[in-house]
Amino acid sequence: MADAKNIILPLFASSTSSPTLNSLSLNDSDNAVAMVFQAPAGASITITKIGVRLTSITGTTPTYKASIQGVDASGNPNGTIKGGGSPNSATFSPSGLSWTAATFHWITLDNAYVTTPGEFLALNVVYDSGTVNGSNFASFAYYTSSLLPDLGMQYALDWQTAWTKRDGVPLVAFATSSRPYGFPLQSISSQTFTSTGTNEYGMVFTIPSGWCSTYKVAGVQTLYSCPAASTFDVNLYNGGNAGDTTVLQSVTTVDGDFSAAGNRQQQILFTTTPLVTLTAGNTYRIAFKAGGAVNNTLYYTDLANASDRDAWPMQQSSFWTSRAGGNWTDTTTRTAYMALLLDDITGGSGGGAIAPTIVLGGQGVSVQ
Amino acid sequence: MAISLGITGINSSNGRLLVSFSNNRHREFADAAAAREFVRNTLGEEAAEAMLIAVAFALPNPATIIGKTLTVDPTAAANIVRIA
Repeated sequence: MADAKNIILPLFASSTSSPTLNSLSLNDSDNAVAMVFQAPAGASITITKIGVRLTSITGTTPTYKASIQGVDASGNPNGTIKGGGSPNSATFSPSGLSWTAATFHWITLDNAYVTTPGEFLALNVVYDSGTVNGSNFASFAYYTSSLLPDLGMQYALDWQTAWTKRDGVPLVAFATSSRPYGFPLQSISSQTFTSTGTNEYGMVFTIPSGWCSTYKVAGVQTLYSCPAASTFDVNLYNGGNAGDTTVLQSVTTVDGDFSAAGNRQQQILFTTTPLVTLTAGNTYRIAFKAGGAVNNTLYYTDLANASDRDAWPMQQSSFWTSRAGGNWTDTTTRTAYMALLLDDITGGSGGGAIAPTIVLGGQGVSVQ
Repeated sequence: MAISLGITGINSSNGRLLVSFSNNRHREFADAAAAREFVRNTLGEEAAEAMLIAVAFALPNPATIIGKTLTVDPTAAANIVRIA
């Protein structure tokens, strides 16, 4: 038996409770939101797009400018758009583009930006032109609370009369021509369900072949509101096809065996003995099934595009799934805040154990 | 440092809850339970003591707060915060 050394594999970002999205109204000529971050380490990348998350529109919005700037000695955007005469920026009007509330959008830069590995940069969004006032403006989300631990070195700021830094995770999002980075998040929400109708929700997952040969799942950790006075099951299923409904291992909870019902990271271990050996490269599902008429709630994040999943842990190999007793329905733009408690990891062409690494975009893993 | 704050809007959309403030900021929650949890996570004992002091000094006679009890119960159907 190979010791998994208490490894917890995130299938998405972790959250201590349902994340809060924080937004600012850019309702005058100088209100701004910004996100300070470090460019990825190891090699330069060419940023072609910046991501913004629109919270709401009031009236008709003006045109705003999104840009890449440097960072001054106080840790604020330095006001100088990178690129000089070929600025690394783009203008956009949410009303003109027919954006709707609570949506995430990629904006293509007029000129791409080539990063220096690890350099500090700021993504800045501010008014550019047109009518802006208390009746005509947009609000943009720029940081979230509870999602991951607060990041001290990467942070969000807002300007109303001065730059104010905010605690939380900055909703920085940028992309190259091949993949996204950061936190391209569209919305946060929850799924409440009982034993009636669609009564089972969870995640599809595939641990890549080469990370290891085999592994076991001892339990699951997720953001969940447990039903009071009612049980629920957690099942591990074999396969990733719609009709794959064979349960490999499971646990049925007991009434009241949690500290508080609502909106918590819940850690649940399987009672099946022995745990089933799973194969890297194969697809499985892990799902919560309501046991009665009392509400269960599984919290989730929606993304604008399935490809945005590539900025987050496990990328597009993990996503939301549900069923009402029959075949599964997968939603590739949705994901729960779920993590697997691994056990007995063996083999792998990578030659070593899976180890957790904190990377931009959330907790990631690397094979050492 | 003065903080003067009001709520300018409370809107629900597709189950999400958006609370807007007079400082141009907004907080968006997955649902009402998440909003209650935010209050619970923020309003610990120290913050509750600060709130009581703030309320006392807002009264014409601060001494009238003596004997009052501040209750924070985010599981309540209403009145997450009560002073009685």
